[in-house]
Amino acid sequence: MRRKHAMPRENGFTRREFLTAAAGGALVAAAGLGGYRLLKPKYPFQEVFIAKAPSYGVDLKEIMLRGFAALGVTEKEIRGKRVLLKPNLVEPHAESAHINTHPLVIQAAAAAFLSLGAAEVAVGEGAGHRRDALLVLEESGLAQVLADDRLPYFDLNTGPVFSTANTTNWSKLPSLTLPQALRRADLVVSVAKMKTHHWAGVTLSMKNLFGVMPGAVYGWPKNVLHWAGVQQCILDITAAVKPDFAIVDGVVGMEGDGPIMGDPVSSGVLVMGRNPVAVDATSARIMGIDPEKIDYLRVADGVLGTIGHERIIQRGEQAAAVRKDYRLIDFIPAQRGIRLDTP
Amino acid sequence: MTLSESLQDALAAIGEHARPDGGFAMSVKDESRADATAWAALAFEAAGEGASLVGKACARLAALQAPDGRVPILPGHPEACWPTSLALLAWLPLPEFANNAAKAAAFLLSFTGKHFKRRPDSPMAHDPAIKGWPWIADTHSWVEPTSLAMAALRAAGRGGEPRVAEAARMLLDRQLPDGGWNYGNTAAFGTTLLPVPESSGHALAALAGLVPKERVAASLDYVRREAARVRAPLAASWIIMGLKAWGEAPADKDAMVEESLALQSRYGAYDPALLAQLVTAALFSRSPLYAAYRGS
Repeated sequence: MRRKHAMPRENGFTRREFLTAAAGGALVAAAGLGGYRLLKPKYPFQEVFIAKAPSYGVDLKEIMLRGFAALGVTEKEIRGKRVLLKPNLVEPHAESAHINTHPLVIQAAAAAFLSLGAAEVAVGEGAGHRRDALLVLEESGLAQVLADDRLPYFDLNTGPVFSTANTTNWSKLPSLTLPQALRRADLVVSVAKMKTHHWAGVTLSMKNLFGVMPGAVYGWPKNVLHWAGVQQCILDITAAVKPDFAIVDGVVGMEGDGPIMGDPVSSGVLVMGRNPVAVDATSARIMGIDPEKIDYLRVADGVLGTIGHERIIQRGEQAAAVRKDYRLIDFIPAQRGIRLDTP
Repeated sequence: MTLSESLQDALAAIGEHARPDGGFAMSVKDESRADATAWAALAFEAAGEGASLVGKACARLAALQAPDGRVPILPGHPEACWPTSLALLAWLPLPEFANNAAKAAAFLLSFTGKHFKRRPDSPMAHDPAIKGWPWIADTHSWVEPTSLAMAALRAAGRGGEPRVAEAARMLLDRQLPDGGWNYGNTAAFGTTLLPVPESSGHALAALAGLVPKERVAASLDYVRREAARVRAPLAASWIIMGLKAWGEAPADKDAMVEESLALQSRYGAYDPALLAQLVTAALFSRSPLYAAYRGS
């Protein structure tokens, strides 16, 4: 089984090579989420950085640079690299900023990577519910950031694509079709919003990767993925895309009937890490949600990352100290019984 | 008819995306794609120009057509057959592609999404049993592919088919209570969802002439309001086409198109599919789409 190490390897696959490899180390997968579970190997410790960010008006770039430093990200690692930031812009509505990754978070992430020497920072998104990519940018507020900072933008729904075998097979999808924009990037960063979700329980950095899948091949919404199994596809897509970093915008998240119609909640945090599983697990705890009770996180544990708090090295704030219980709706099955016990 | 300079520029920009295979690509560096190819043909047809380009584009679409009549977005993705409707519309003005058009129409009439009886405990409010057309095979039917399929079949003289009538019922079922449509869900877990202009324009256009105006009055109001503010190309195009299909048009329709084209200075050059939809909206009364929505 292929393992992802906590620290970046000096040698080994680049992102481009990983995505091109036809069968780059198939991960052992459970036979569907309801199938038997193998004894979980110990996954390396993962570091996750939590920072307080009481509003979008604070110096988010400085927070992210602190986060990178805490995570051991060096200029040497970033210099000369092409970075692709993937925000969550699933269905922007001008009056509901809490649906999407805030544009100032994207701006700060871009500035942070550029200050570490990135050759380029681009933004890419394949909005799940809206086909007008430019209206998505306008209504999310991201258009102004892209214009001000001259950040290239890729509409992942309609750009050129390539297909790769689904080697992890949690879902029955035989292959995954991905945007060529991923191959162009040296580093892919999932920049998610901290939200509840009425099908998945939560939507964080791993579920955010649904927005990588081109609508031209998967539809609007990406119904192919829903029929193949939301939880299963979260795992397969995360394994295939293998984001290098995950950032979760929890400054203002969404509680209740996420991912669109829920209510804003001021968590006042940014969560960052190299391993999206650990970042999502930590984010879930901050939301007052037990990652062990989120199917895709439980299955990902030990395979794609780690969710156990004993194997997550918390940098910055402690999750328990910034915990703010997101409202859950009892008649939504995916949100039932997932509350994190209060110690 | 003399085209405005900006429409001429748009057509020229579309033409720059022509590929050696006759199709059109979304970017000048890429391979051709069925949707860009069909939209390019439709735009030139509306403008009454580029006969050679149109012929080659339609030939490329014919080369992409599968034996069962579907036209996939890309070779190797037969399941992503939503461009079939666009190809049918592009072929209809050209008699030499009559067989291709007939096969595409036959495919559309035989093809639908995954449908099922609504469960009493379903969290979704719409009726999932009413058939329309999906984006991708083996998925549910949604608003925009249904709208385009209805347009294509009506333009092909098949507007009287029971599938078209059922699709109209489907669109009405997916209409939001306060007007407008989104991709095709009305409510989830008891919460009404929100409309978006691009889907609303598609659905309005598809229903023109098929249902009384009062059935879509709130949606027309919604789209009229959006016309005042939206200039992003896809949504603006379908706001115009949705209203025009009902015999209306934004008072500043031409200005809308010009302003949308001018936004390329902010967003960068539009891909040919977006340009073509703006051209088609600007010249809607000359487009095969208009014949579909107004004539049958």
